[in-house]
Amino acid sequence: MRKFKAHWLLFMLSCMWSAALLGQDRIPVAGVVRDSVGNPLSGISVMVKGAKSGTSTDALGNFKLSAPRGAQLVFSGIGYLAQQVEVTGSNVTVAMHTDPKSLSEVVVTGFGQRTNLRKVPYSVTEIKGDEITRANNANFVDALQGKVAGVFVGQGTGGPSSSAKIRIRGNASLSSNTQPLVVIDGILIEPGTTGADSWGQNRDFGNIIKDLNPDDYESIDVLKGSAATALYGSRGLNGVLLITTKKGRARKDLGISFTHTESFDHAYKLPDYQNTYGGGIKPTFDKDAQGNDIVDPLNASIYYTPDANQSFGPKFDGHTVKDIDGRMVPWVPNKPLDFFQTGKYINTNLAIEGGNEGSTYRFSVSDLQNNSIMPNNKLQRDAFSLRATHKIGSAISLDASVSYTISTIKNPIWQGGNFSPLFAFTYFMPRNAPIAWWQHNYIDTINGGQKTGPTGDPYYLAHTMWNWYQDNSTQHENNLLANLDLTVKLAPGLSALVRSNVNTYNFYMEEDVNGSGKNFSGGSYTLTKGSYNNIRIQGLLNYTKDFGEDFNLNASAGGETYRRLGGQRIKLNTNGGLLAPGLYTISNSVSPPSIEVNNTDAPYSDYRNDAVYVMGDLTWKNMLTANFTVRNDWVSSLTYRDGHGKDYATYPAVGLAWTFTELPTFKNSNSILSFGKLRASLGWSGSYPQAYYTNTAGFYSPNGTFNNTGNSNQQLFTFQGSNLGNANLIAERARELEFGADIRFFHNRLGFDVAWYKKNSFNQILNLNTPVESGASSQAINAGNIQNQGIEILMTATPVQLRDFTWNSTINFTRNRNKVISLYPGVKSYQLELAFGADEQAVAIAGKDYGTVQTGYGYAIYNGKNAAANGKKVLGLAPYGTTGGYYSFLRSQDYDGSTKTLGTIMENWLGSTTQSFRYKAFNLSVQIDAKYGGLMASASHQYGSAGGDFKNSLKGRDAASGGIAYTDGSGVSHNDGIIPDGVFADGIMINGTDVGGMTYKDAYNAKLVTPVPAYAYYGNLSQWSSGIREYSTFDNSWIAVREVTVGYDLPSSIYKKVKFSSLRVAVTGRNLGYLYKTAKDGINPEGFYNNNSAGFAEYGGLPYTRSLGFSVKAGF
Amino acid sequence: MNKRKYIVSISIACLALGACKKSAFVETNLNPTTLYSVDPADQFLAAAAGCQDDFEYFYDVYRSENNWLQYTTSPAGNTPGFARVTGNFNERYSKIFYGRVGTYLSDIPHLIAQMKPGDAAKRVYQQNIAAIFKAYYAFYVSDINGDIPYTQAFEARYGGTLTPAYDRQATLFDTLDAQIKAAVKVLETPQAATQVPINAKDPFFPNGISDPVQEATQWAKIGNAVRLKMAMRLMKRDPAKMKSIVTEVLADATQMASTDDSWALYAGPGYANGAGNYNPVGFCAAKPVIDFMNTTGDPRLKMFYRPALKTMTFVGAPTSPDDVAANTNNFLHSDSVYSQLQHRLFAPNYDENDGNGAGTGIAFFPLLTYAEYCFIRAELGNRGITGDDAATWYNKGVTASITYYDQRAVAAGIAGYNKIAAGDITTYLAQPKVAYNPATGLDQIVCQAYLDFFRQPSEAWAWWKRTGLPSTTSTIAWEALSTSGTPIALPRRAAISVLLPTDRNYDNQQAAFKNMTSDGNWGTGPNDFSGRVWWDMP
Repeated sequence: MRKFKAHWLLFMLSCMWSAALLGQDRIPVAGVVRDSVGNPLSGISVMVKGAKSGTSTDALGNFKLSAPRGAQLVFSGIGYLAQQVEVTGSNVTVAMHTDPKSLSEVVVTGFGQRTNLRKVPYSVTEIKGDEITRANNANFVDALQGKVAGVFVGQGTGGPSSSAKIRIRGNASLSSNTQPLVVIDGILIEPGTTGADSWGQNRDFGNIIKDLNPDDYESIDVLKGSAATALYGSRGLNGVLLITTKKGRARKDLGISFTHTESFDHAYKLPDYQNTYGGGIKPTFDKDAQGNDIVDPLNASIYYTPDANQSFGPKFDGHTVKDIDGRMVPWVPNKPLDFFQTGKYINTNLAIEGGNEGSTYRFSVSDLQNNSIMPNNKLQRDAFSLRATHKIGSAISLDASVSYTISTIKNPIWQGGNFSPLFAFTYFMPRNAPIAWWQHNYIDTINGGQKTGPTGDPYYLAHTMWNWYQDNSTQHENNLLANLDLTVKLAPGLSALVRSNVNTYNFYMEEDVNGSGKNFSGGSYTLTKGSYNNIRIQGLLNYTKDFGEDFNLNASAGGETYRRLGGQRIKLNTNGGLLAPGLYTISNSVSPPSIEVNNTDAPYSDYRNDAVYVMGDLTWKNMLTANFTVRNDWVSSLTYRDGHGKDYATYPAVGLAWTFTELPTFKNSNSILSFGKLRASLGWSGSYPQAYYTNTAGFYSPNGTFNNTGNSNQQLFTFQGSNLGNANLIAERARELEFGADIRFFHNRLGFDVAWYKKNSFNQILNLNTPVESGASSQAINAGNIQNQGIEILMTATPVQLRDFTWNSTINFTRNRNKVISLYPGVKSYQLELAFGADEQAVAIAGKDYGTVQTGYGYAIYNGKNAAANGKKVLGLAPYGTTGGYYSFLRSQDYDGSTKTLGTIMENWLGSTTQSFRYKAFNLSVQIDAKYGGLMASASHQYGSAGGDFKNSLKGRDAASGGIAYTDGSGVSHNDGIIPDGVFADGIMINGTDVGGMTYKDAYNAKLVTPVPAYAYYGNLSQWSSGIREYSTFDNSWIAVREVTVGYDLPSSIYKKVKFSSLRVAVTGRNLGYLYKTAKDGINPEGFYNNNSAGFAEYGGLPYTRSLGFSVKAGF
Repeated sequence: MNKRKYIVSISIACLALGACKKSAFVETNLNPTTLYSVDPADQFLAAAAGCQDDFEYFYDVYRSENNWLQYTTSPAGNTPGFARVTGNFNERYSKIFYGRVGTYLSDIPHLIAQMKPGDAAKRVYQQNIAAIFKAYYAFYVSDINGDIPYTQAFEARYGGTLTPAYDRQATLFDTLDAQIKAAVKVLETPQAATQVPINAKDPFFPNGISDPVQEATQWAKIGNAVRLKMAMRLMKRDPAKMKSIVTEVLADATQMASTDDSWALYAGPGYANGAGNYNPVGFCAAKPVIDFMNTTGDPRLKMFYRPALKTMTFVGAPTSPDDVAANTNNFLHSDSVYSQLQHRLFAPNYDENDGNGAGTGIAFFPLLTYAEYCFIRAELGNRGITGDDAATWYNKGVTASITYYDQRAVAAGIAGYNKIAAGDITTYLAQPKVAYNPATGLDQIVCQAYLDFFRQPSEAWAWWKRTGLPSTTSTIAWEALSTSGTPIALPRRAAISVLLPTDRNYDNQQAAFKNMTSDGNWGTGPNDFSGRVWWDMP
């Protein structure tokens, strides 16, 4: 009844108002409001001067109203200079300029409050939703790359679902997951790590980030330091991404916006393959009985001897030869790039918004169809979101948001291992292997199943194609996020917020593997299902009051409970093959199917975190703000079964922000300084052990089964894992001190935001390796001091600002030193990540950089009896054998047992710049980002080089390329001899001569040795059994052209005809290329196979891929 | 009105938050899959189930020992570097013994000690049976590794050291012998409390032995046989000690007496999955063994190998890398030209692709069979160390070997397998190369033991190290291995991975290297697999 009255009243008022306005000569006015760079500005108030009528701009910067001809329209918005424009026609385009004097940008901090930047005592960077969606990437974290100082982003490489790596201000812990907490409208999300490891392969279905739809994001605020994240206590250690979703705006009509984007991925570059030599190790062909040149099966890669993948055979000349499988084929190199297809990113979003003074709503639906360059791989995502606000009376307001995402991911690209695309084309493959033919001819059409055997599958391509086309995994995910904020005004200045939210996630995955045996026997079907729920309930009392003219106080107190209610992951799989080929159901299993349940690992485990907090700030004269927050956490995972355990921790933070340009001396002068703020903060944040951890280690559990002679599976009960545990674990804790300045000159046309921070994290919860002989393989400890110290600089400039032309420029610079100050008493090193199996490792060593790369597989350096030879590489016979029995470079561990330190995986600095230009309705933006330093390990490089697939093995293959002539033991002449640049290890005798400390060259001159044939030289240098991993570990610096966008706002004369209120088209190119890179031999510098904190290795992956796409945004 | 409602709600919410009880947190943090104690027999079963490993078969057995010892060759022929210890060899060390068998068995005394005295007293036999199993496994690991941590090992869970020192192999052999001797003694001693048998949780006796005294006797037999086996390693290093142990053991009446006394792990078809790393497909039968078995009509031939597909006869592949090039075409089609391993003898669920699908037979993993026991006694008799009649024990050994493999072949469900006929063994024993001849007795004993070790190539390796047999001139004549005319020497021990200096047990390992180097035959370094462990005297 009351509602009806209100509506009635509103209606009557509207009528009266309209009637009043009708008296004048009113014309409809439509227009668009942009910033000085050309980005549309939403929420700008548009008023008719002298009247009370007005509106505000929508998401695309558009507005519509009617005004008397000749009236002045006043445009105003927070942080912008107000502008007046006379109504001369029905079209108005306005460019707003930032207000240099009363700068009051707002950012989102804490629990989602919009706060005036002046009051914020720490660095926070806000990225607008537009900047995210422009990247045309299913995973919004990828889009943050290069956009925020202090933040490193590494792209996922397993297709659209693949998780990106994000690291804020270095690694604050030695955990393999140092990704930040994501908070979306108050809902807490902790993304996991995904991908492969150093041993093998994995399909990367990605973490939950891919189930989040950036189309609905207004902004992402990156909270970097501990003072900023202290309010998140034991989840704040790695920073926070605070996401605010879009709200509807009050407007008279329905606001409809429609965006359609199509972007196309194109594989444009491979590692530096050589296209000169085909399979084999000798330059000539053998002939069959008919006189055909035959590809020597012993020279090529045969399934059973995959390490014979030599590309040291005859030169390609295009003539017809008989391949190993009997086909007559031209002798030409294959073209791996041709295998890849055009990837497509097609995203369509429709958003409807509206509202009135009491209520707003926004409903949005997105559909994403995303294929990658890899055939048979795709991601499909449909996202629905609704955000509604409603005021009940003057005291109560509701803000509800719901988003629901349905994703389907098919066949993420294998990361690592034999089926990782580029590795598959590198490791098992001589350069002549006909990839294109096998792509369509891998099925044994006579017997059924997959071609196999030395002549059936000479290049392992049938196996590979079978895997890519007949082993299909599809995962379906549903993700529901729902939040309700209830705010009640209790008294003047006093309000209460009750926030409650839920995240419900479930998925099921099916893996259909067709039988590769005769008549398609074998095969398997795996069904995996999982679900979990998390809830959070928060209560917060907020009080704000001005004391006199000069003081403003904000204070809040509250508490929350966050509960991971748990769930489970259930995996069922067939055993022993499928009864009926091609029928993918569990009941089609030959042997009894297996069931595996996981309800103990996050996010399926139960966990609870309660907290109380107080926070506040006191501002003096709009100039000086003192901030404080204190949070006390109680964390379930720190309790022990018998009730002991320090399950609480307090996280305080204090800060000071001083806008010194408010001082009278600045205010009244004509200083070039337009704004200046200094800030300082000190805060603590933390982390907690995994759920159950304290009550698991050292105990027992059901642990697999034993298939006994009765063919029944007898349950085994033994130790639950091999960790010793620790009865006194406490929370991890980090302390961070930060100083910063935000200084702007020349009416804000030049600005610097500088931050210096030093963050020390203590009480790392580590599983420290223990000698396995002790009966346990690891031990939980609380120890260490990891330090991250660095500076972040953001420079913004507007070098040119004219009526029709604007040039904006930003430069980001990040330098972080991630150092391990100490570990555990008596422990000097902690393993973080492996590469090449376990041949190389990134470790944390007390006193050194985080991620120091060590290997016993580096070049051995001579230190023997011939002092003149000290420092040279050592030659010898590797213990596990060398190709042809030739001498090759020894590994340091095989020479003197030493381990070499190669450097650190962490970059020296990161930089990026965005240059934006606007000319009338056109705008152009170019983003270039750079990473300098940091080691990368490449298995593709190592094993590809061994087989002679890369150009790096061309030198010395013939006389023209420096090969030395020699005659082998059978009297055959060769000219592919290479003299290794090294000296013999002490103790080596050749024909009675002690060659220890002698160079190979001297030994050759003394006729003690013959040159090493190229295939053996290169093979021994980097093959599995004798290779030098140091050879394939290299500095990975680059400068990338990350993004180029050209946009154009169509003139209204065009779109008005089709009743649009605005129409903008943009063309965006992403990952266009590298201006500079140091990755060896064309290895993809961003091809890492997982998003673990210390991941530094590549193992195949994809070719270089660039994307080019267009986007159309229309408003109705 | 509305306001009050919300104030009340908020107050309740705050109260609820403030009232978080610790017990609720503890409850939340209990792992639903955790148990706080287990039956000691469960640890025994876990150790038994964990004593075999697909990686050990993949790397140690199929790709190393079987080829070195000329039971098989690689599918494409042995490469010049085949007689090497590769990086994944020696799975028995970290993964099997320290990771599983030793750790689980070491927990049994602790579990028993935590029981009420009355219950603990019922598990005296269990504890001593476990002690024999653990001691044997330590021996098996030390056998190719030399010095290993043992006395101080496995104590971390009970407050002991995290950095166990290495026992010298010489000392360790004494320690193990003493432990087994003590365990056997207890197992032969009647207990006041009625003992709880391991019974169905002992997969070495898959039918279960529900009578605890009978179970104890069975394990006393194993204990005695293990002591003999270990003593044999001392033949060159310490003949006097060998003799004293042998004499002491044989004075005990509790001895293995039939194939039923054999110590082997028995498992269902799912245990050694024929579609995974246990799959022995592709490896070719080696010529020396095939030729001997063809010549002598060895009944085990069809149990060990499959006829070559092309000829349906038993054809062995040449083993020397120098012969591979000369047989290029054969090796290209090695799966049809040469005989292969009898797949289901290794992995009973192997799908023969005969339309019958996966097999459902029983797998076996011999640790110390009655046949081996017989060959040990035959050798001791032959060498005059005991008064045993070498010929008698040799014949018993051959008979036991054939009988046992026949039983296993049937149980494994080898497709189309027919049991041996009565008289087959007698006929075989009469063959010229088989019939015991005192002049070549030792050679024959070792070569027959070598055949019997078809499923224990590691033991065949040890016998070869100790006796130099088989050789290129023995009853079963190995091919001379060479590459480009240069003879290839077989490895003699594991290549030991050197711990990083930052490893917590680095110092102990370095000390062990120093000790082992002092033996003189250890080789040039930890990685030098041509070196010898302490017992392996030139």
